[in-house]
Amino acid sequence: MDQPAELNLRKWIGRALGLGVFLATIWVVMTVVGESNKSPRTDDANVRANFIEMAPEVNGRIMELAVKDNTLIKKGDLLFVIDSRPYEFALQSALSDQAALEQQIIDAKRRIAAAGSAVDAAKAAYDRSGTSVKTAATGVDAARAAVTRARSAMANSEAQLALAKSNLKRIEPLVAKQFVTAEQGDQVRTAANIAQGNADEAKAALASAEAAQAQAILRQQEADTTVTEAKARVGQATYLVDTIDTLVSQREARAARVASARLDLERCRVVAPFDGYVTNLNISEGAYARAGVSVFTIIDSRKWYVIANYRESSLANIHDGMHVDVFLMGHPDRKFNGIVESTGFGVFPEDGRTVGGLPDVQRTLNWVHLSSRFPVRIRVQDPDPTLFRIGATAVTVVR
Amino acid sequence: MTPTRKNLLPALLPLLLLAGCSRAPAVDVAGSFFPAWMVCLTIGVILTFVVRAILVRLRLEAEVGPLALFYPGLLTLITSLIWLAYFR
Repeated sequence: MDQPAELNLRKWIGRALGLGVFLATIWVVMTVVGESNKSPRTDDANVRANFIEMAPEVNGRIMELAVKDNTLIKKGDLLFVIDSRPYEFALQSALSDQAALEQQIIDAKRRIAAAGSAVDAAKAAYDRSGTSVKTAATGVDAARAAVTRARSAMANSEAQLALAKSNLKRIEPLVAKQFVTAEQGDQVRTAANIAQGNADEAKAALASAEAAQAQAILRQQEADTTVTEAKARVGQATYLVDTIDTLVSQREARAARVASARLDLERCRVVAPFDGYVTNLNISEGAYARAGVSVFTIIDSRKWYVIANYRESSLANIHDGMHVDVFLMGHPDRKFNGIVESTGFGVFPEDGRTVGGLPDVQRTLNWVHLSSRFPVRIRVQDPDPTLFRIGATAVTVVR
Repeated sequence: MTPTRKNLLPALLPLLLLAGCSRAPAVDVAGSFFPAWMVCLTIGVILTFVVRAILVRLRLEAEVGPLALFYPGLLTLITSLIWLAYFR
């Protein structure tokens, strides 16, 4: 091969190489850009899981601590036991109160029965007084008849007295002139005197009968008063009959108190609400647990998530239900499968602060704005519970 | 994955057929996680130097056109190919 031909060949190879590299670079860059748009990826991702701060619902000293830090527990496993004695006593007290109420109800029923009898007695007295009113009325009628009778007897005797007196008046001159015997005169006088006595007696009888009538009327009034009194007594007795409603209405309250005491007693044994890991357990038996104050934390190991922050421009290519390759930086050679569950709808906005009641807007303005990033919640479908830890760094690629 | 021109053609490259993309696209260097493209760029720079040495030996470097364009292009090409091969 001569010199110019070789030079020419090298020239052509060089040209082809230069052009090839140029074209290949353009093509490969486009491929890379397309690929990273189609499969958005981020290394700003963290492993998450739900966790709860385990707090007892009753106060007391922890008598038994059945778990250790960083151990796996199953749902229903005993976590710790709180001193249950005060709650046992409270339950006994509540049960005793309940029994006392039942006895009170029985007593009240007995008292009510007695009061009912009193009402019956009062009613009987009322009936009796009604009868005595009738008797008194009859007595008044009888007295009235007696008065009438006495009055007619008096009229009778007065008529006889008048007759005897006129006889005497007629016969006295005859006695003086001795037309009749003195004996006849004495007879007439005696008759007149007897008539006078009869009349006086009849008057007295009338007065007596009138007095009896007045007495009978008073007795009737008294009987009427007695009726009113008996009626009032019936009413009083009726109102004195207690009802057990107030006691019976307390039954549910006492039962609720018993149930509440029983619940408190049950709550002395705290069990795991789900499968998970115990963490942040830094106490021993004897620690005083307060209701609602966390004792340790349980991480829910049933579901693991990765929260990956994606730029807002990438979100157009991320949809719920898409498959995600998840890598943990602790184990970069293992790929886990995830699925996009949701995308966050809010992050704290730039210039979102308020100072003194007014929005705090910065005066400086960037020409180039960095895109916001939103947390995308990725549910890991095949988590290895021994590898996943909350806060672990992850890399995610949405496919 | 639908076989479009964009993703079918790179798949045909033998280099890419060797690739397994089951590694995390980040590399742990003594507790710091470096993004994959930085690793690719580092390897790309080294390989570009190697290619330049070969071109110089074959006396082709003078023929490939403007070097200020050629080498950055070559670096970009190699970096991107490594990325596509191992971290896609």
